[in-house]
Amino acid sequence: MKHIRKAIAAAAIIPLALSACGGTGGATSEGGSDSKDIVIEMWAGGENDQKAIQTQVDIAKKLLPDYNIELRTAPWGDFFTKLTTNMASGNMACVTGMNSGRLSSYVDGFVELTDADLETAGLKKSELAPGADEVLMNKGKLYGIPFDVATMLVYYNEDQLAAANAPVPAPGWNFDDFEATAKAATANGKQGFAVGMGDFQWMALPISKAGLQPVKEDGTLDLTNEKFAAAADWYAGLVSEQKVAAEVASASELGWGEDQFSNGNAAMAVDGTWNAVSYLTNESGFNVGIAPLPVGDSGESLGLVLGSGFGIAKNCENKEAALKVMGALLSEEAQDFVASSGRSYPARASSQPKYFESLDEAYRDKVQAAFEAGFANVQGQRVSDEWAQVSAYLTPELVNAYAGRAKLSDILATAQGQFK
Amino acid sequence: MSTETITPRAQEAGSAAAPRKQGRLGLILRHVTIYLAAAIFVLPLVYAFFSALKPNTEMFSMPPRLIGSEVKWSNFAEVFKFGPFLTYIGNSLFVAVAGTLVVLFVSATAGYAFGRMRWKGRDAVFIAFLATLMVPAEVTVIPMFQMMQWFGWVDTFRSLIFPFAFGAFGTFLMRQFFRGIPFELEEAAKVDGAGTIRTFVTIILPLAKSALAVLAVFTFLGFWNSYLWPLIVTVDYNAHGTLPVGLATFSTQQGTRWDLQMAATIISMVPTTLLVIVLQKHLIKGIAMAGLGGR
Amino acid sequence: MLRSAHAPRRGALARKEARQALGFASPALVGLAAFTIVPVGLSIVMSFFHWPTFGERYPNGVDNYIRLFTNSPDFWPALRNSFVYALLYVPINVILALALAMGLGPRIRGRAALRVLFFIPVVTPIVANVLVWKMLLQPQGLFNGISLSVFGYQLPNFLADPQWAMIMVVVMSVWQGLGYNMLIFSAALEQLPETVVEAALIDGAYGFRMTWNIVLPMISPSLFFATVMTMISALQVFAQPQLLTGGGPGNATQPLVQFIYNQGFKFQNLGLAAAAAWILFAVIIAITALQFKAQKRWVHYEH
Repeated sequence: MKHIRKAIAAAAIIPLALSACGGTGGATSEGGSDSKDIVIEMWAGGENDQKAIQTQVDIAKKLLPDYNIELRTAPWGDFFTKLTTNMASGNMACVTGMNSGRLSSYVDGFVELTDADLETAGLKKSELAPGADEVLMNKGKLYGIPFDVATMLVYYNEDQLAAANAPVPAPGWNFDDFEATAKAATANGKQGFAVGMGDFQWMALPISKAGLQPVKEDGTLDLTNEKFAAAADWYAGLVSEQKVAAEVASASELGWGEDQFSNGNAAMAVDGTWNAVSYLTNESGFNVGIAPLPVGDSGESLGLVLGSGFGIAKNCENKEAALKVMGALLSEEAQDFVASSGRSYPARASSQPKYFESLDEAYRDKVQAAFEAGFANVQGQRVSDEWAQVSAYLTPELVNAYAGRAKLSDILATAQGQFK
Repeated sequence: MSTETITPRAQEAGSAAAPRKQGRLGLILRHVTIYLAAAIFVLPLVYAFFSALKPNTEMFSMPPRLIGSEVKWSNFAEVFKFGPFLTYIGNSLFVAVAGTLVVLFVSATAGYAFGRMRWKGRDAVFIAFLATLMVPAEVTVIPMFQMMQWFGWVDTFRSLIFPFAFGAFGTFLMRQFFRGIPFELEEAAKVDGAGTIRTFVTIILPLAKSALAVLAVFTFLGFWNSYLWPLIVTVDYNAHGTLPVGLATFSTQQGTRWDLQMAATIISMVPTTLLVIVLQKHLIKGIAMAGLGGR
Repeated sequence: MLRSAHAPRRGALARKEARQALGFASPALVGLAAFTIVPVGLSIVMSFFHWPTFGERYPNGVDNYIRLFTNSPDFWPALRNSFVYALLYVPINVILALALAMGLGPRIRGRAALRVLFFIPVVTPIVANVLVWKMLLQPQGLFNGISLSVFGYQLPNFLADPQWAMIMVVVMSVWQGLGYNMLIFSAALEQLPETVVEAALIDGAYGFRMTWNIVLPMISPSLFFATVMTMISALQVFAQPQLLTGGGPGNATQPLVQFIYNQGFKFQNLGLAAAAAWILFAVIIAITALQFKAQKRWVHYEH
């Protein structure tokens, strides 16, 4: 009886107490137009991620001592959900992180960066690695500058290939070699390959095989392109016809191929350069090899240059200060840190060698060779306006294609009709 | 509530049936069936627990094993090192407790007004109230976020507590309960000269302990497990992140730490399970007395 | 419905009571207005607008609704999936919960512990429940592993098979939601004399007759309440398919709320999402009204 009376009393007090002590929050703290309060919003999961981004911010703070820079983070998966709501309410952080694959859905939130803007930020396109300026570009317009660049590679389990006596991938290999390895490695209850569910992971091989992207240069969908459709059918056929890869367990398994590989269930998988180090130092202790994408029918392998970086929000009230902060985040010092921490492959050309230097000698040369081959022939990813819809439509349909219930080329044709 | 009225007929039926009771064999069979059902039911929970003790890379290895190559109790400690998990738990506790108190206060007062006081338009307002139970949360999320901006509440505990503290369910439950209390009690208090507020606090509320317990448990659970809203309205996870949001931080761009996510899940189940165990008796009684089965 | 224990009162006394009642109800009314009515109103407005997340907003009449019905390939399947889910989930949940509540009578040893056990999935974060079920159901999971090693039989790829995926979403949901209704039925059964429930548990025609003729009518108000609430929550299902099957394969398990979520949060089309949400709301209202209408035939209130 007494408890309840206390509870009621407490309930009556709580709203008051909260309004008294809760006044510190509010995402609208961008400040006035001449203020030097700048908020950076970036994804980070786990302590290491947090530390890495915090170090970059600290470098920026050091370079801009009279600025008040605040960092906010959210886990990778949630970052974009939150960005949607922030954007809807005109509440994006001045300096906001962006990834090449997601940019098309969020271009409306970012300002287009002009050469004058870059000058304010103290950045030059010429200092970036080749192709890096295309990473955060959409239909020819620049919306951000990357801090890292990435491309897709084939990772393989050396121990499994050796156990199955399968031929080992090497730079310059072609799709026949790929099939031979996958077939030979499908043994002892393991699969030779694991198919991807993410856009980059599953499209990498078809793009390299066909030698073209499923989006035209002007940003219109080209999913029914004969070459690409044939390559896509070949890819799904790895599961349904050649049986060198397992069916996907559920459309919600967005990291299927990568998980299968890490768990030692499949000998090969396609994933980005960003995961090179974590695969090489995997917990299970198997030896990992890296190869560029196989050479396609055109005689060359074609990869996409991907990456993440920062852009400036349209709703930012002090663009100049934001540009300065962005410049500091991407300064040589910050980029050198990104490189030497081995976390990702920096976008600034002069910092790139430091990435390899940071790696363990045991696999340094292996990584460098694969990276150099992988970045040898890359294009910026082309994305159509409806790409988010296309991708959301395709992902659960992939499950049907892999199971052989539908042809991937038919699914692509449906998507082409629906989203053109 | 139908308690008083249902009993005579039930008694009649009961006494008629009295000689026929499930025999010993039947009872044993019943035990077997129920324990078998419980075993099947508990299997996923057991599997979850053992998964939390496996190394990350063995989560989905083939063939599946209950126990991995090593038993990693360290996963539970690792959870707290991976991120500010203790902060998430603290935040969740604070939000859930504060939210529950608000709900109890609001529901008890409104339930009283709807259940025991007479005023014009009462039933019409109440039906409108009930209709809001059917509004899917997804309908209101975006406009609600817009409002949080107007209030300047984004990324505060207030925005985690108040927006979902005024649902109709609690008021509905309390009203049903209050209507079952004999009016004579209140009349007696009034004759003694007690005001409405005093009657409410000293006579009515103490009787409502079980119903309040039910409401408290369901509300607490709702706040504890709420995911979509905190995700949207929290900006600084390290300051205002709650548990379900914290669970999601184990999925990174570099893949998911399944082992830690499982361990964190087990940890997050502890407080709610304890709450249910402690309030188990009140729960059953409260649900019965609140007449959730009533009209 | 109202208890008229009092003679009608008039004048000052009634006015005073009305004033006090308003005082008591005002926190709830103000809160509900601010946090439910206003956002709901806003969302009605949005449904008649072209309302992208970012960019120009303008009214476009009923275009969103027309587009839903005629030009959204996923809308009808999503509506169908929501119905299929609800029609499978509600009866299975209610029947199993009732059987469990009846079975868990006072003569069962460890009754309290068992009740808590069946209630645990209700209190566990849904993200966690789904994770566990994924580990059980996938081809490399526990079920197929056991089946392969014991019987040498390869089970279907449950979550990726169009026929099985929906069934598994229902199975997982029943597992997760069973405890809630079980508790409600337990509470109702506890109001009945023990002998009645015991008699209903006897095998054969007699037990069945007792259940059908005595027990069920007596707890019919509880059954009604549980059915209505379970139906509402079933039509709003989202997290289970979203996390367990991703709505797939194809759109085989995508329910209406996931469609709404995709439109609003993935495709940034808030106007269309709001319109779809309003259709869902209308469906829920209609079905609930139907249930209230039908209740006269089978729900027995004792007065």
